[in-house]
Formats: sequence, structure tokens, C-alpha cells
Amino acid sequence: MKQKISHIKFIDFSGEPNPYGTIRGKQTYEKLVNFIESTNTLIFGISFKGIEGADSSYLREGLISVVKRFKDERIIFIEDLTDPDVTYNLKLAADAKNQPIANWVGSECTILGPQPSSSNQALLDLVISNRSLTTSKASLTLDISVQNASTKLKKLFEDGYVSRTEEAAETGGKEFVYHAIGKSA
Amino acid sequence: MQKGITKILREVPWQKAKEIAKKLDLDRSEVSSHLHGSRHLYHQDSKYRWCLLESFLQITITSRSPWISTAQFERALKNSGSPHNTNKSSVLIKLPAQCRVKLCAAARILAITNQMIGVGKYIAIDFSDCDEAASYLNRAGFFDRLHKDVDVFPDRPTSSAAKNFNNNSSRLVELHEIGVAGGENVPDRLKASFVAAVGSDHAGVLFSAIGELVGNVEEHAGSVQPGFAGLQCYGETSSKWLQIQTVVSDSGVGICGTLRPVLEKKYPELVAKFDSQKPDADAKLVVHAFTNGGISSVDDEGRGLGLKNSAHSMEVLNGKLSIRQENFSVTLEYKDGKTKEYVELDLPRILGTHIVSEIHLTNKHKSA
Repeated sequence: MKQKISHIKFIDFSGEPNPYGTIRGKQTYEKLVNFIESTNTLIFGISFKGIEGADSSYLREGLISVVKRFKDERIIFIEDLTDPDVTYNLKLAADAKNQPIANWVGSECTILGPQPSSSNQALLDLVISNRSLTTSKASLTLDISVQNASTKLKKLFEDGYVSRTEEAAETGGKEFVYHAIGKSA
Repeated sequence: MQKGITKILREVPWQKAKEIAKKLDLDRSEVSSHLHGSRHLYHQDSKYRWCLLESFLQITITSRSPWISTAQFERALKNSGSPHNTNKSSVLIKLPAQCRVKLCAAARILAITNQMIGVGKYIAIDFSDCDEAASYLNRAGFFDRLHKDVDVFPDRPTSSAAKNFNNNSSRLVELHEIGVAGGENVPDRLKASFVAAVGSDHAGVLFSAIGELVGNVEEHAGSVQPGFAGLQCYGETSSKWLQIQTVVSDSGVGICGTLRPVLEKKYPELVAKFDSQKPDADAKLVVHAFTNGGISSVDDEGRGLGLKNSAHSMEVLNGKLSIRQENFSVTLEYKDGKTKEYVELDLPRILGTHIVSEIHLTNKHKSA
């Protein structure tokens, strides 16, 4: 089930193309949290267009702390981050707070920050390439038990690598459908 | 007359020629003429009051080359001793003839000069033999950052060249005030200047380093005196070799002053490793903060990123990072993935943290 995504620009909250430092990051945090709390939207895509530079302290406070704050309530991903220095700094910030974040550039998705265990990586790749996936399809594709697929997908969801919805199963009853953060099928 | 003047000024310093003449029952112009002719003995402040030079701590900077860098300033300070640790209530900093002051040295002179005003001492800087240096420093915003009570000789510039030419140089970013709530984005200014001078290659990495360091001052320095930051590009843009120097300076509690109080509670494993009884313990703690990161006085998750990231940026740029603390300095020099570490202990006291980063670029590094 495709859900509405609110696409916003990070520069509207940073107020400048080269933000830096913890203090400015905390100011951005306040603005971003207030905005997210003011809407009922579930999914936010934050574009990095217009951001030319940002250090790791700023990104930790101004973005990763926001993602972590809404970890169990909203789905937040970023878009259009291509600058290698900002990417490096965001990765540092995400690692420091143990909070992964998905970056979409076109149809390519990169997870920045802590990476899943190698045994869960294959499942994450599968979710991202399919955009959305049921446990049974994951089990079939990777030739692993449904129980094993279910455990791994649940772990990926709990750690913030994928989102999930509960939908009616073809066989009756309900099942979880796991989605690539930001771009579900 | 000399004996009489000396006696009077020893008893009560900072008197005008008129007052001294009255006490000696001499003609004012006669006393004034003697005082002016004996500058090796007497100092006159900007309010025309006289004092004995013997009551001054004199920091006389010398240099074989025309350039004054931190090395020359630190050597002069070592010879005189720190003005923080003298019972002399007045300080005079004298620059050599026809010298050129590098940004890193200017930052250090500025820091200690303002610190002296903060502790209630009289301080003067004498540019009498090097008006070109004073002119450059005026352009660099030195006098805008210099406390108004600091005497400047022969004269404090009547207008600020930095303000007149604000942001009009691609090679020099004036010494801008940092650590003030709601202040301007100085790292952005420095980045723009770097791009204008040498192109956009490496600008993002340099911005990361400067942003982390300036942000650190804003959050941790804890000083009533504002810090400052600046950038200077040395060498011709057409030449094969360019040196980019940035300074970030504050007069706060220092890195160890921030970290030491929390070490035992938050990082007990580091207490023994950096045993404060050992003379180089604080220097090693600073190296650890820059190379390993992850230590912070703040309890929030994921802190201690900034210093490590600034060092990483210098590593990427094959640069050099010098960190001057109250009585020691640490230099981290990066070259092709290898790090050389230099520590200098027992330096004369300067409050705060004074960081100089240097990178060298060749034409092959410069963007078109």
C-alpha cells in the first residue's frame, strides 16, 4: 500500500547552505521536530538540495537526533545527498548515535551509519531492490525458513532499516509487509 | 633629574610630565623633553602618563626572516616569561623592524593581549618600526578584535580596514568573532574565501574541520572573552605552491579543562592512562581526543565527534594541526596516511585553546 510522503527541504530548516556545530544543530532540531509534530504525515523525505556543507556535530544534532526521536512514530529518510564530505559527516553522526538513515539518490538507496549484520544484509538488499516484500516471498527468494526470514525482517524493522505495514494476506488473515524506507512499492 | 623622576614614578607610576615637574619643582617642558629623550627608561601611555619601563614585562619578538610566526612569538614569550605569571603590572609587546606577521602569530598576540586586559594589567603593542605589519593587521581585523584598552604605538588605526573592505579579499578572511550566540556563520565565510582563492576542491573537507573547531569553541570554551577565527592564503594563486592557514582561537578553559573534570566519572578507564601526575598526561589526553574521539563533557549520546573529525579532515588534506593549550602544545602532522606527533611541554602560560591548521596545495590539487 503506497503511503503519502511529505517531501521537505533540509535547507528550509537549517536556514543556510553551510550549517555547522552543535548549537546550530539543536536549533534545527527544534524547527524540524516542531514541523513534524504539526502534521499527521507518517513519512518524510528530507532533501539535501541546496546544502553545500555540514559538519558531523551539526548533522548529529539537527538530523540524526530527529530521526531517532521519531524512530517508533514516523519514517524519515533523506534524498539527493551526493556531496561526499557531507555524506561522510552524516555517516559519522549516524554511527555515533547508532541510528541508520536511508539516502535515496534517484533509484539508488544507500544506508548511512551502522550497517546490519552480514546475515541480515541480504534481506535488507532484497527489501530495497523489491521496494516492498512479504516474509513468505523473502523466505522463498533467499531459500530460508519463514521463521528465519520473519526474525531477520523484524530485527531490520526494529533497528530502523526498513518500515512495515500490516496488510491482508492472500491466504487470509494478516501479514506484515516490509518496505524500503521512503520508496515502498 | 633622572633620579628624581625615577623616584617619583617608583612611588606613584602613571603620572603626567606636568605632575612630575610640579613635584620636582622643575619646568614642565624640561621634564617632558627628558622623558621623551629617555624612552629606554620610560614609557608613555596613550593618556600621556609616564611609567618606568623597569616595571614592565617586555616581550620582544625577534626574527631572522621577515615573517613572524608562532615560533618567533613563542620564543619571545619563553624569553620574557608569561605575562600571566609575573608580578609586573604592565606588559609591552614589541615587534621587530619591517616584519610581516602571519595570521597564526597575530591570533596568539591578540589572545594574550586581551587576556591581560581581562586580568587588569596595562598592555601595549609597539608597531613603531613596522607600520606595514600594523597595516596588514588592520586589514585582518586585528584591531577590531583588540580590546579598546590596549595601547597601540605609534597609533591605533583611526578606521578599520577590515570593515572598509569587508569580505573583499579572496585570500584573507578577517579575524572574526566566534563563540557569540546568534553570531555570523564564520566557517561559511572561511570556506567561501578558500574557494575564491584556490577553487572548490577540498573546500568541503576544510569546512568540516573549521566547523567542528568553531562549534567546539561555541559550546565548550566558557570564556567571557569572545574567540576568533580567520583564514589566510599564502603564495600566489598562479604559483605551484600555496599554503592555507586557518586559526581558531579562544581564551576559555582549554580542552583538558573541559575533559578532566568528567574523566573519573565518565571514562574511568582513561584516568590511569592519562595520569595527571605525569607531566605529559594532558598533552596525551588532547592527542587522544583528536585521534580517537568519543570523549565529551556532555552526557548526550554520540558526543565527542568534533575534534576527531577535524583531525580526520587534516589527515585527508595531508595537513598539520597545532593545538596550543595553557602550557603545552601538540602538533599532529599528516602525510600520506602517516601521522607524526610533536609535543612541547612547559610553555609560558596562555589561557585557552589556539588551533592553527595548515595545508599545502599544489597546482595539481587546485580545481580549474
